[in-house]
Amino acid sequence: MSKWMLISEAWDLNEIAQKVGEALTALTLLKFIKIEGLNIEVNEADLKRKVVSVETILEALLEEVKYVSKAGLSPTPLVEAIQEEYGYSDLKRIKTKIEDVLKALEHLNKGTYLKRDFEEIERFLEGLANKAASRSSDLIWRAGRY
Amino acid sequence: MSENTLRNIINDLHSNVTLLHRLLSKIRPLNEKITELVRKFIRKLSDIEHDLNLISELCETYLVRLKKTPYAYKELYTRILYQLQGYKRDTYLISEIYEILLFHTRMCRSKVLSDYIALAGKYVDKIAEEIEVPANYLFFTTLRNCYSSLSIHVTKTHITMLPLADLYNPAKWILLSHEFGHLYFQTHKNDILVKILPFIEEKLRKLWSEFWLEELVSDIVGVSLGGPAYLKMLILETCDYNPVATHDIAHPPLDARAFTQIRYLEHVGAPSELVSRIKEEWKAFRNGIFEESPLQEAFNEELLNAIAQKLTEFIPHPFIVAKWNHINRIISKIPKVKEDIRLVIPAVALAKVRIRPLDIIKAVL
Repeated sequence: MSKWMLISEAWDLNEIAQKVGEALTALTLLKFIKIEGLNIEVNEADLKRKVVSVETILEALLEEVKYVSKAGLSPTPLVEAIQEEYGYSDLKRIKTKIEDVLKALEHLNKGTYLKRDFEEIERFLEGLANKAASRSSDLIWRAGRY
Repeated sequence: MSENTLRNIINDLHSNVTLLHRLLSKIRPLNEKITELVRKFIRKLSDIEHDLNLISELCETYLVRLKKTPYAYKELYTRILYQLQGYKRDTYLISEIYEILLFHTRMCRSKVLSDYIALAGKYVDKIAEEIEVPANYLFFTTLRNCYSSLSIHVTKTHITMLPLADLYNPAKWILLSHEFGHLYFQTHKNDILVKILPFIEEKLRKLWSEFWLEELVSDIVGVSLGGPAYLKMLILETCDYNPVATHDIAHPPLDARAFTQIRYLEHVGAPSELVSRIKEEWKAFRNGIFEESPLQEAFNEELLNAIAQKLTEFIPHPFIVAKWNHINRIISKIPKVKEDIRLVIPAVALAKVRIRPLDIIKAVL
């Protein structure tokens, strides 16, 4: 694998890591005020927008799961991240999990704040974020050795 | 608990971004493509600066207020740190682009080098018209130490690189089509994998989907544009004394690559003269090799044949088939004719006598 291939993949994953990271920060602030009752002033609409922006990443992931399953392919790093987070390899269950998170995001977008939705989104995004960041860092490190 | 360390990290990143911004701004705008490339990455840096300011505000507005709630403070602190690490990676990646541009502009100080690089760039732009790749990508061609390419999908940029050592040898530029093939594979990956992986044994699918298939598809893009000229130049480039072996993790053995290219041309209905010519090029090289051992089973002929056949569904009307007669006609006429660079490059690659680089330049419209 050439240095440039490593960099190309690192770039893609870093972009995902950053989008998910921004959503997690916004989700954390929203959780503080809506679930944990902390008294801090936030722009709720702005935070919601940042959290819900990960929908596109999740929809792309759903497609990824579909084609991994259709082609009988080994899981991509992000599909693997979800498998590792939840401890199951069955792609149908992974697909259901993504759909659950998308539903939770929909509730949140409508202003229905449920603790279980926050937990569902948070756990999923953390798994994704950690994998994207660590793989991106690893690829950059490997590219640097060239 | 103190957010001073976070502030220091933010300041450090600010200084990284500011310097990169300044350095990129100083890149000489030699042509529109460089201007566009620089603009794309300066915009990216401006976005990072904007985000860093927002994170600073987050520290000052929320983190400070959460000190009385340690668990919340630590949670937000960690989230912010995660985001900052992403920007650190960004600065590394953008530094790579700066390095590419810096080397490019240094090379372009020489008028002669600059003209050849521009011509190679023109060739890449022209082949981009023949291959189904996203039209909104910026294609930039430059020099490095070997044939390679870098796709940055987030900024819709594809950088194709050719070795400095081949700059005065336009016949070899046909290998740039392989580098372009990588973008083709990446933008058609799902469809290709869905159609081809069922032919591949399950335990080998990871290797095929991550490496080998991308290389074979890139070869097919190359042979669809250059036919025998592509294989001839690939042989020169690889100097492969053991074509049944894999020499790195990414590339299938040269035997497998050549076999797939020949089969693709046969399946796509290329004229017999064109197929004969590519077979001759291959035999002329291959028959001289001392050891004749078979390819490993992972690259069995049945599989390669199936792959070649499937790929005709992706590239059903190769440029080389449509232009083969035309290319043959101009081989002996260079530099007396003025022709499209897409025809001139394969023609000079197939010419029996070496054509001087200056004559090649004269032959290009």
